[in-house]
Amino acid sequence: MKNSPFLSLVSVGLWITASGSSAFSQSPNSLRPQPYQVQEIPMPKGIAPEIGGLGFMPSGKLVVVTRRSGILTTQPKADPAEMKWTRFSDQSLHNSNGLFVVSDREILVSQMPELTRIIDHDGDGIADEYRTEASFNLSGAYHEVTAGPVPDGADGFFIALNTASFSGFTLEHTRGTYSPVSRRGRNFASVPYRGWVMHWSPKTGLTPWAKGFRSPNGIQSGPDGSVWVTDNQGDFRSTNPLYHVQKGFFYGHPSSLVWDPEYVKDNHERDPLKQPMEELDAMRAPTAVLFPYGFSRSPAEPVFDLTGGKFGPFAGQMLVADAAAPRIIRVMLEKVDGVMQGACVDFYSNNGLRNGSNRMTFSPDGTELYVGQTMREWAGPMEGLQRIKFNGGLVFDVLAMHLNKDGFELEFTAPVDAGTGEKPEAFETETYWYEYSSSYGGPETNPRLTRPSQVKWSADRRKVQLIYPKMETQRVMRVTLSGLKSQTQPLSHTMVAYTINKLPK
Amino acid sequence: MNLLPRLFALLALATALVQPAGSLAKAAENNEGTKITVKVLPGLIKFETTRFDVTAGAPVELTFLNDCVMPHNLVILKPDAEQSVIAAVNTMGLEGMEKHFVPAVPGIVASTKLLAPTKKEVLTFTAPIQDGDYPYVCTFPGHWFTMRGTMRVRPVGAKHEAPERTGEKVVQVQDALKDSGMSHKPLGSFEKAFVMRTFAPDPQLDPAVFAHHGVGKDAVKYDPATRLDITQMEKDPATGVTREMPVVRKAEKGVAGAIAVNHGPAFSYVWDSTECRLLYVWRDGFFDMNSYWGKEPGAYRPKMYIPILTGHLVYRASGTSPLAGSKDPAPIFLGYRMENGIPEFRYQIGQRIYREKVIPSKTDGFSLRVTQESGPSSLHWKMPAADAGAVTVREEKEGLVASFKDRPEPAQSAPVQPSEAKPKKP
Repeated sequence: MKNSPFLSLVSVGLWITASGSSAFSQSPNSLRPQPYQVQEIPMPKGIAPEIGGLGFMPSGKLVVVTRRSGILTTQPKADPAEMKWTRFSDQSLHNSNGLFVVSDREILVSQMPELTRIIDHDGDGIADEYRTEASFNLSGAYHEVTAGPVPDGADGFFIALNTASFSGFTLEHTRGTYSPVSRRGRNFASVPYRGWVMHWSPKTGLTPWAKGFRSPNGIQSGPDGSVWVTDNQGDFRSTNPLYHVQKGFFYGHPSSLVWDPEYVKDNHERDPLKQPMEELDAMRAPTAVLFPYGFSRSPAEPVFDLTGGKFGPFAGQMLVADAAAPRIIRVMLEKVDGVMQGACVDFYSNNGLRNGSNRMTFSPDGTELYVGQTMREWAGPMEGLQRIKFNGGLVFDVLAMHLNKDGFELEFTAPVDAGTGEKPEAFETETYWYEYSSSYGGPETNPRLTRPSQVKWSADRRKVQLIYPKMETQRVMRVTLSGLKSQTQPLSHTMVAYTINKLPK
Repeated sequence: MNLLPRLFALLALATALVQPAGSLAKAAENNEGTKITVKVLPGLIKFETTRFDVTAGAPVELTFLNDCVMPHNLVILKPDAEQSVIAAVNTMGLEGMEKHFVPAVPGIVASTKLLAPTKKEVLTFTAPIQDGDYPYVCTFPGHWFTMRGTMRVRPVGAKHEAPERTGEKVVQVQDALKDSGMSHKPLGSFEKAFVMRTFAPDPQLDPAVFAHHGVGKDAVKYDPATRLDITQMEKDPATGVTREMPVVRKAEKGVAGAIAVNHGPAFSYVWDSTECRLLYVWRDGFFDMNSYWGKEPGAYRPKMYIPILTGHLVYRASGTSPLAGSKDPAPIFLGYRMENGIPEFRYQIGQRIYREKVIPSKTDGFSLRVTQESGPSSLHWKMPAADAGAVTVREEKEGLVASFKDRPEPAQSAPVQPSEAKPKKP
């Protein structure tokens, strides 16, 4: 070995990076061991390492589905150079963008035209059957990709179907019924059921489940059976959202509505693009988290940290890959007055992490997060496979953010030094909202600067109550944490943003 | 060449500092102006330089270096023009790429092209006479919220401040695709087929073949911001009068649910998972994926999303499916199995489930083997009129075997491709 395969902060000279003044930067405390490290995992020659899905077999083998070079498996090793790759399938699937491992011999994969069960019947390690479980319609646009399948907790799965983009084709012969009404739009759903989250099970087949999505390139089911979808900034999306998806609900992008029998029952040519924004707005389900555009450029797969602490202090929380920035963000969710909402904060940025992160999965032992990258269709090449290893040690960060009637309670992973974070000025806060608008993306509207009127620390200095003069719904509150230190180090990430749909009663 | 001015120029570029204040008035008089380099923070959608000063009426030489992984431009706007210019950009769509997301509207002081990663462009222009804050943004959709800065036009003689920077830096991580050795002309072998799910070309097939497809139409482009269709001044072909005409995006030729199978250079075919039938067969090539996958690894930006067929066709399907009756529902594709290197497709028409294999050949002729797996017995081949004489069907114990003679078409001088330039059927 020439070098340690782990990208060490010192050896690649990242102190320059780390000393940046931004809210995202890591602390400049140079000799402290880094709790998380990124490692590059080279893939074999002759395949395009554009990662559409990641998972682990019961045998412990990592499964990688690529967007055009089939499926590969490998037994993970400490040294990636020793990892021997074998092909589970040498067939080229069409832009596969999600997988679920059923067994050592069976994988469910979504690709543009279908959900496919890929089976190695004879156990020689190479698939011999590609069983179509469900077909997806296509107008022909490159943008009509899938996310999922993710399990529903019983015998079924959820799959998200992207809309088409007006930058792509519509074919003369579409796969599925073509609707000229829903061909209008910047992003559109000219064939059923683009812009929907679908449910599939062997007993009930493929059924539409929730609507109103634009570019839902991330779907996940939580341990409690909840369903989560990330979507992408664009038309009808002022910024990048995270949705808590519930059956039958509408999530704001109108093109999918034409395939809702209820919506068109009185007029089969009813055009949602002609419906007033206020009416569409009234139909909308809330957005759990509105990622500030600076936090997430193009959110992809969310994963829940179910490692029980083996990947650090954030057990149970959600991490979200970003396909257009070298960053993974962390989401802290809670239910307030019946609605899921919460805060987001940077988890890992730069420092060896490649741009383009699309899919993520935890290693079976929970100490590593595998991250697969691809962003070719959107904005340029950034492809490959990496993993982030938790080395232990203190991660000094915000552990939780809870909304109170009069402000927030912030909890930290370690006691915060007395003398730091004592004054309201240490918690400068911007509050703003993202309006629901048909335009492609939108600014932070009605921005206001505020700060807590009172700061109350707990006796153990792990929790602080921030009490604000005024709290409102329909606001994102972005708090900058200035000067907070533990006994040994400054706070790793100093900006946290909470989306307030509801205030506690 | 005198070394000193060169050194000075290098120094100016390297530090991106303008000349000391005292020399500025003189600089403006002497027409020397400002030299500035603006870079991009890779992956962060931000300009590294967020503010720089120039002198009113003096020349500016701005070097824009896109060392990001995404395409970016730099567009300098008049002080109040941001909203109107961005609104115009938001209606551009795919044409935006071609026009560098720089709309032909007032309010733009200077603009670069949309630069691919690592490219740079030098803009030379005269600073506006009117002093004030001139915003600059990247107008690639979605970038302008964060990718912005201010060019301050200072009155002649006013002091320039050093350019302001974001302070963030990013270390580039290599794109793993660049060295992957991925071929854009994939091939199987005669013994072992390479099966590829992809959009496939439609080489002007009989429209009747697409009986169970939807009928895609030309569509008018739409502006989400105004919620109106997009129009432009154009001559109405019906009246010859120039008027506001809708901007139309043509429907294109192609097959969305295709399964392309290659048995080496000798034999390739496309089988469609929507119609559940063989669409066309060709020899002496397969697909050139450049039009779909981009010209080379690391430069991905396709135009077509559909591969180019290389070689010459020896069979094209016509008419409706030879196995389906006119009252049968749409077929349902059930998948395929690899058997001895050959895919066997499985599909359902009504109550009947069929299995189908295309048996390749190195020279003239090939065959198609259909077995009925379940359902009421009714294995019958309804010969499409165009196939009479070229296809013979015999019954075997296991099912039907249709034997096809090659009907070679001229080798493609230009590869068969679904081109936007191809004439459209009315």
